[in-house]
Amino acid sequence: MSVKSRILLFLLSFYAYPAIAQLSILPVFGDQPIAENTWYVSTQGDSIQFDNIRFYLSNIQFEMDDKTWIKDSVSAHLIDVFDPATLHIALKKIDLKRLKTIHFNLGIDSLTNVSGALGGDLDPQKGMYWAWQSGYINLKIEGRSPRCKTRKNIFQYHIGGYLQPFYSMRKVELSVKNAVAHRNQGAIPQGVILAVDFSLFFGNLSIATQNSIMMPGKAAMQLADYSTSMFSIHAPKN
Amino acid sequence: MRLKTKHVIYCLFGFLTLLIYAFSERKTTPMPLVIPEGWPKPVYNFTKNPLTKEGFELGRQLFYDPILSRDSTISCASCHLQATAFTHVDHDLSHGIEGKVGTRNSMAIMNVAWSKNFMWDGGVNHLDMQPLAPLSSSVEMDEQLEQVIQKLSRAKKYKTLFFKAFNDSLATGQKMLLAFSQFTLHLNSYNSKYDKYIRNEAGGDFTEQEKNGLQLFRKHCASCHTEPLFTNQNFEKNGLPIDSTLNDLGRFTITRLPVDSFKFKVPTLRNIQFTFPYMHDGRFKKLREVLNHYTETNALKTQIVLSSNEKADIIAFLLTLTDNDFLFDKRFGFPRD
Repeated sequence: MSVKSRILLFLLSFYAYPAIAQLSILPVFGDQPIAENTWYVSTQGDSIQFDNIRFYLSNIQFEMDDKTWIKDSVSAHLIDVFDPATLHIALKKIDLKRLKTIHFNLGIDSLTNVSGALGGDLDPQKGMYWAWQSGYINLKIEGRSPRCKTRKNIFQYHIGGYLQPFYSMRKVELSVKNAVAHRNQGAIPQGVILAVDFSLFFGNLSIATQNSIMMPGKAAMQLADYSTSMFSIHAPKN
Repeated sequence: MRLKTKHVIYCLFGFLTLLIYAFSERKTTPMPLVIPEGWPKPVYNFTKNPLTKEGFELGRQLFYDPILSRDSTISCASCHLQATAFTHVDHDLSHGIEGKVGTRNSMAIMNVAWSKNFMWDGGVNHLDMQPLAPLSSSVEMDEQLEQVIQKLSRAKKYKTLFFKAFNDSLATGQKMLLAFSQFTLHLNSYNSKYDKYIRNEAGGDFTEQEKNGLQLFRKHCASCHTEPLFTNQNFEKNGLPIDSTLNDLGRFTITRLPVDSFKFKVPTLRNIQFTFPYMHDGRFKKLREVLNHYTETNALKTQIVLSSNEKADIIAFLLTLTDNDFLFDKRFGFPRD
């Protein structure tokens, strides 16, 4: 190892401060993990393949058993199902044994939506922002199904909108009781696993007729309602 | 043993370099907004984006650079020319990439720090976000923000400009948008003959006709075109018959409220002499046509009645809103290095 790279490593060690625990997102379709170029069959019998699934988890808060609340230091996380680096959120200073409930928003709140140019995961260059009608896209699901009589059988759901009556952000609250992985699995820090089951989203949907929803409105509100049911705390089998 | 000492020294040296680098912050030069006397408080929140000379300069370079468009042919200035108060003169509908034609007349850029929302339909909710609309429009610049950031990151010129403005050479969407605001926030017109008249300054002597025009204006027009910005910032239905080739529903497109059908943003009238053609679809070439429309029976809820002479007086007044200091301010023009 050259001297240069040793110095680099030394400096890097300051950044690689180990997380105490983490919130891991586990995207699934029923009992299968979500992967690219893979066919899934919805409960409605539709064959589905995914090209792009991205969504915002914001304002994550941890309710502890002594009724104290701890706020995530980052206001919003952009989760990209096909980018593993985004599937783990570090939870610093959270005592998992005392964790009772996790609260978060699926999407971006209205105040953030009118706050101008923001950085990090909220930078519009992430492609989760509408130009012609300002506002964040809370959830993007894109893929294909032979059931969609569209160009290349594509379906596109871009769910967003921050103005009433089409405010599409959704609050999610999940009990963590008995679901915390106490074991330290090798190099992976212990944590909470948040399962996101997209089969529940598509179980509600008539994909043949509803395959292109890309602006705020009634349809987006309905999809936003469906989307909260996807989240659950995954209890690992010991 | 000697090797270890050497390592420690190297590490310390590296750490020191990092420390010096971290604290050697480049100084920026503040360039605060001029708020004319008697004007309302700006809407824009400057605490989140303090105006600096360096930020302004980056924004100006971006404004005049076709690098923003997909094929490097269209810059912001293509449709927003300084000489015509930053609008696309003499085109009813503005055109963009490959000569493609849009559906509306480009808006003038003036006094944007006081605007609550942007575009004819108010679809853009914050000045920072405004550049994203023309950037991504398939008939304007037809480009994606991610691509623009990549192009800017490759350009040496922008590395320097971003570093000067933000103490960090890395281009991001946020920084680009903040820099745009830094530039456009300074595009303020407040030195017209009218302003000088109001402030009792030299060059502000109104003729009898202009005085009469102002009085008539205040009586008939000022409820929507409110001084000193000459807009009440609202969306109004102004009685224009629908152009069936466009079927533009205006504000309704954004709010989906039936009451907002055919409502459009009330534009400022500053520098109106040069911002023709008029209306959201540029259907009127002359100010006289605009006044003729508003005095028709069914245009507005309460009909405006004006004689031909009175119309001439109002137009004479409107011409006093021309601000040559603004139209020829070298700081706002094409950057010639």
